[in-house]
Amino acid sequence: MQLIRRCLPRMGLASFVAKRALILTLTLMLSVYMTVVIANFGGYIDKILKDQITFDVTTALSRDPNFAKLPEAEKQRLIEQKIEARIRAAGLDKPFLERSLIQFTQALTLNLGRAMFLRSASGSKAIADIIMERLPRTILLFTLGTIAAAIIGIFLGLVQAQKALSKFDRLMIVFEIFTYVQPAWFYGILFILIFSFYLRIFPSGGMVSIPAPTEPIAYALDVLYHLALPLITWIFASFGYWAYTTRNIVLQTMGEDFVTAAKAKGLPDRIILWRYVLRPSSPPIITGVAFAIVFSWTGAIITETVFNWPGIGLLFWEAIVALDAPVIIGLTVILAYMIVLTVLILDIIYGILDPRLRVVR
Amino acid sequence: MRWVSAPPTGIKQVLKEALKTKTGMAAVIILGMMIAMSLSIPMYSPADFVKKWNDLKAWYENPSLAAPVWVKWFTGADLPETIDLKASHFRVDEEEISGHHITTYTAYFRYSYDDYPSELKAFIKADIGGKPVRLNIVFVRADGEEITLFNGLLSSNELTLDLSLDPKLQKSLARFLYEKTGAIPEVIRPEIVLFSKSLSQRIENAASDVLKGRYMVKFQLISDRKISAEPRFIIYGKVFGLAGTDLYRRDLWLGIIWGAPVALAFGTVAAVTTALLQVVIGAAGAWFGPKWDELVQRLADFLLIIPVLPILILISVIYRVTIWSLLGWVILFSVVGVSSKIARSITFQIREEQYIEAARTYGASKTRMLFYYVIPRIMPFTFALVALSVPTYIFLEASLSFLGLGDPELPTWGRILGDAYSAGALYQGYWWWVILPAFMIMLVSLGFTLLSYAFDKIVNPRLREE
Repeated sequence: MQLIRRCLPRMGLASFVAKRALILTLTLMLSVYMTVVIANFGGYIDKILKDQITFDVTTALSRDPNFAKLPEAEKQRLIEQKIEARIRAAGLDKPFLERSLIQFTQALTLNLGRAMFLRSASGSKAIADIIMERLPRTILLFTLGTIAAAIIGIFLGLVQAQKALSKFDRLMIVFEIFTYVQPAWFYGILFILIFSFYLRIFPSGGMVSIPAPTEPIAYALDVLYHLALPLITWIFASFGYWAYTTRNIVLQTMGEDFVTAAKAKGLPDRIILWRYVLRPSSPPIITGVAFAIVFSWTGAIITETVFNWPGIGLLFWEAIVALDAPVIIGLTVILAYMIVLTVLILDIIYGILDPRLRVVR
Repeated sequence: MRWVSAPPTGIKQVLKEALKTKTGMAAVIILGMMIAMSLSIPMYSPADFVKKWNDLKAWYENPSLAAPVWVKWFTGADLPETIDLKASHFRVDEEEISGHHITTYTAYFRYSYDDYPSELKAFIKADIGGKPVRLNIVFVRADGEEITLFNGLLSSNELTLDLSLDPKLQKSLARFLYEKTGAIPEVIRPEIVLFSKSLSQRIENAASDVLKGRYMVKFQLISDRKISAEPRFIIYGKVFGLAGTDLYRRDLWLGIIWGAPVALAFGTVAAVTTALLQVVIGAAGAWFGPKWDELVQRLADFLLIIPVLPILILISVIYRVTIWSLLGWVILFSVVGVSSKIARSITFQIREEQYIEAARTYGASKTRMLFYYVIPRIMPFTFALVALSVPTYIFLEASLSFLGLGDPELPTWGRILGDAYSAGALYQGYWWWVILPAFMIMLVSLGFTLLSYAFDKIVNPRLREE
């Protein structure tokens, strides 16, 4: 097998990365365009934008004292003129295909524009501001949760792999599959009912108490107190995946010839585990963790809604409820970029580490 | 390559083997129960149930937010069930005094529960022929105290009196309490005043102070002609049925039962269809040559990268999906996936096997070989994944329904949970509204998890028990 592979033609690292980057860019463009089309379908969003312009123009003019003095026909003409100018300025008079392409290029160049209805806490309507305000909170909850779940799960998986097919292992497998099949929001509602309503250990939602403590240390403690329940929920909902995957990958590596050889050499168990088993097992696990961190933001939509955690997921939900298309597109684009970048970085790392991937088939 | 040929390969064989294991048996029992439950629905659920579920007026006979009946066994207290005094419960007496027809409807009932009712409502249907009629409703407590619940004109053919919220009744009860005790409490709740042991007690009292005994309700119609009426008096309880009721008085048991076939059908159809598509596409890519393979691989990359849940949420907001259109979207977004990867790698392995070569020599076409010799070999390897993706799809639907974006008609578990969440059930402690549908979803997903494990053990020797 090895011999055959060595004879196959192989790309250089640069052309491998270039090829992957090209494919990923195309994927990114396709998914962004798809989002733009879906979010605009039937001119629904355009109609809202036009209504918004009409509303803005009429209210702005009605506040103008000079405008009130004009005769009625003149008023009407002025309003229509202004609306038309604004519509043209916003590009809303162009056909949908052209408009979607404009939105598409804006989205791709991360020119996120302004929200239609939503604002950041500081009052800014710039989508970049709104997202930047929310992002750290989502990272705090979901990145922390995903890493913690992965550490717990990997540890558990290692223990299970060493006791493979024992009663403990088999029971844990079923338990792990069972827990990760159900989404986090599902545990969220059960945990809120149990820990927050009945046992009154944790608050039922939000990120800080109202009113929030002003002292920095008290504020941090308050955030931690609110963080606990959603964090536990997220860890509970995802550790099983890591445990089960780690168990299987490690078990497969343990069956390889080089591990048997190491055992035959009489190496201590610790060295076999760390050097011979964990090292080859880690790449797929690390890939999984990297993906999970990025993807956790999408799954967070409902979890954040349930816990009223003011992060990216809740923002997405608020944008959907308010039909704030620019925010929806902005979030999806950022997410798509994050995913594509993660995939590309992983591709480059593996391209360097594992030349077999660069084989031209 | 060794492990491909070792385990049982026929589809039937794998199914048979899976059922022999303990986990397989457990899975079959759980899922069998679910299927039996789904099949039993026509026996006790009304035919137009789906319509009724969405018609909030149709449930007025049930108490709102009542816990399941079996709560009684745990609390020890005999919690009240609904007492529905229909027209047939009333005795009719007619008399005529100086040209006035007086029709009296009297009903007795025994109240021996340990807690107050949750609500009281009086209804009357009468053909008044366009002329207002005088109506008196009198309530007689078990200790003989008489309280007038309504005294006024009946000016339409139908009247519903929401006694627990009626401002006029509040006033007359205040007067009544003042006469009896010399004080007026701040909050007057008719269902407590009418059923409490001692009037001088403070009103918000423990359940042990319920006055037990024979009560009476009297509807009296006074008119210049003979009028026939249908009175009705409902004393709403605090427990109802096997699963309680929601805020809108719907019988949650029926909703939960109905959720089973919807979830099972949606989950299995989605899982099996996507698995078949994924296997066919993945195998075909590997079978028909590098160009096709490349195409399938790129499609897989694309579907892996797009954020499916946000896009599905977006789609359901803009188009209002039904369960079938949702199924379509879900399938569209998973035409290629994990099963295609499995199919691809297995196809590469069995491409060179002798029976394929044999088929080639007798002149079988490539398509025939793919569908008759390659794909049937692959299917068993996807069983575990299919079983596991059923609950995943059920939860996908539940997630959308939870947000209120699912099918607008069908009662699904996700929708019940979503209703509970938005009505604040988590913060008010209406546990039955949350725990029972959640338990059903968990049971189904446990069933499929066990099934998946049973399949995995057979096809994947790493799980084989020694």
